Amino acid sequence: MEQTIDMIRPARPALIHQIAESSARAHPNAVAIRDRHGELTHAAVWALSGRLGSWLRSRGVGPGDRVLLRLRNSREFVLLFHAALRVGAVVVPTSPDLRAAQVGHIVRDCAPVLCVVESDDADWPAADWPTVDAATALALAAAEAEPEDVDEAPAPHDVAFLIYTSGSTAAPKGVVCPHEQVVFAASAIAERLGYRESDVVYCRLPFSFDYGLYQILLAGLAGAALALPASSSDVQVLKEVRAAGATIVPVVPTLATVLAVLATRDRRPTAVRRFTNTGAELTAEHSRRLRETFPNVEIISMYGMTECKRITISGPDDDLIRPGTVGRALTGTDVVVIDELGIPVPTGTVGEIVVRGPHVMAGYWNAPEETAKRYRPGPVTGATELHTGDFGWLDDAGDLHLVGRRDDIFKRRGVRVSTAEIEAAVLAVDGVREAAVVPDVPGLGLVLWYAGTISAEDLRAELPGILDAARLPDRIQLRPQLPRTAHGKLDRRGLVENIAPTGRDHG
Amino acid sequence: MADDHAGWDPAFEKLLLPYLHESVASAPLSGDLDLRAAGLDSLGAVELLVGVEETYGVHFSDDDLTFDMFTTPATLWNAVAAVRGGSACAG
Repeated sequence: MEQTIDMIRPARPALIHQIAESSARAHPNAVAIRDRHGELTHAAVWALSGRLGSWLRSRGVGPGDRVLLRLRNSREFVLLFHAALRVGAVVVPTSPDLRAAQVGHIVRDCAPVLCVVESDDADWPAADWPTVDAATALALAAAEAEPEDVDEAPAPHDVAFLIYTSGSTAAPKGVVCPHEQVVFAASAIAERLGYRESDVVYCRLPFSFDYGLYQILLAGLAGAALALPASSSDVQVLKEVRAAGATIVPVVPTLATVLAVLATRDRRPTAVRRFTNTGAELTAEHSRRLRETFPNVEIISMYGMTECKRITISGPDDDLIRPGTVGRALTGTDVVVIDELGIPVPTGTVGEIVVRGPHVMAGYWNAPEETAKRYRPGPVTGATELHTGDFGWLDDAGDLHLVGRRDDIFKRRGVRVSTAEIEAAVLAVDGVREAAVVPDVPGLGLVLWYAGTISAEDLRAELPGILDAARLPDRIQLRPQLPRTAHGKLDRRGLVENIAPTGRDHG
Repeated sequence: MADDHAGWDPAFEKLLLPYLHESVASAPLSGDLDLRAAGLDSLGAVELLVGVEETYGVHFSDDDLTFDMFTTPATLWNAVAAVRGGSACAG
């Protein structure tokens, strides 16, 4: 019988959870998850997610309903994720580090019919919202009958999940991710990253972040194993990497530095063959330290944005031949650099990065104005293109290089945050009249200036209750009032230029 | 657990202070200070680990590295003392 292309290469799944289903068929007994409890095979993940799906149905979860998962990276998350997708629901992964006020915004915005949290979640008002803890969910699901027809088969354009991400507004917005965009993006990324069935992917990046979440899909597509953290302590990261036999470790620069420091004091070999990096620039110094402490490792540089998942991926170690590269556009997508008038600039010229392709997600949940600002019809075909707000340039080889951002979004400890959301949270504190935040002030870090009746010490004590660690300022300075520009906007540059001597501020 | 710094030497405090917010650093260090809330982040914790190992000439094995050793100055001091073979904080 003649072999055709279709027989050689499996068809791309139409729905996200079909990735897990295919893995269960192709490699049923291969390890899918390795964690502190042991291992789960691909077949077990599919079977257990089916039971969870039945249980979700019995709890009234149906097609289009939002299911919020506020969980650490765990097998419970992976199983619930697939279960919710199988019944046609929309998953909303949120970080357990977010404070009640922060997660409150998300819950009010997406109105989930069910929220699954850790049993020891101290910052979750379970009485206010429909809640169950993950351990209970799994125990109840174990009692469910073998699922016959749990799969609802949503359409490819149906929404699979919402990823809340910071922007120019006071609260994060949910990027709407339909099945088909996600499957396209995951497949296009997989094509570049080359995960193998024999790989063990150590995923320390939170599942509430698309970079972490998609590791579930990438491991699934390759039939590889996903190793999940046993503890939240970063001091044990290298120990976990070694214990899991991890071969691939996706990082952000802070994690890369932690690993390099730990590997400097502990030179025993690991099985790591590859690091991927995105989110913030992995400087030449970061990369040098990683290569020194993990000999024989390859580094892949990437760039992306939740709004379209991933934009560019480099080849292994391309940073050595083209310093500063974040790689090339995913196959089947386009990256264009434009000027203020929207006209593509020549290679080597800096402009705004604009993205086109089947990975561009479906805007923000319930936020048409924010969506319209970023997702705009292209000039030629009218197809929606994503205006990233990031600036960079393309070189002659077609590689993208990043320069910076124009607006007030930045990365802190691997988390995307915005000055707007920090300022909004500070303004909500009694006794604060005005607030301005500037990230990356040289030598000082994230600085908060405010005017009001509350003391800096008291304000410092209030903030951890309403903002997670990544969003807490390094320094707080009280002023009688905050300077304004001629247009009445906060004069942040003026604040930075007139930083008070140390004695007056509150570190 | 004693709420003072009984048992730890000035070198220990000197190691810790650079990782903490200035306001905390200006007051005497309390044994039960929440280090994370006081500014110790993940990179700070691993650098501090290397710092205590170099300062006290000790090495934490994988088993010695516990998830809660960086919770407070007292937990960290106890971890150092344990590896040194000395006694923990009184209390």
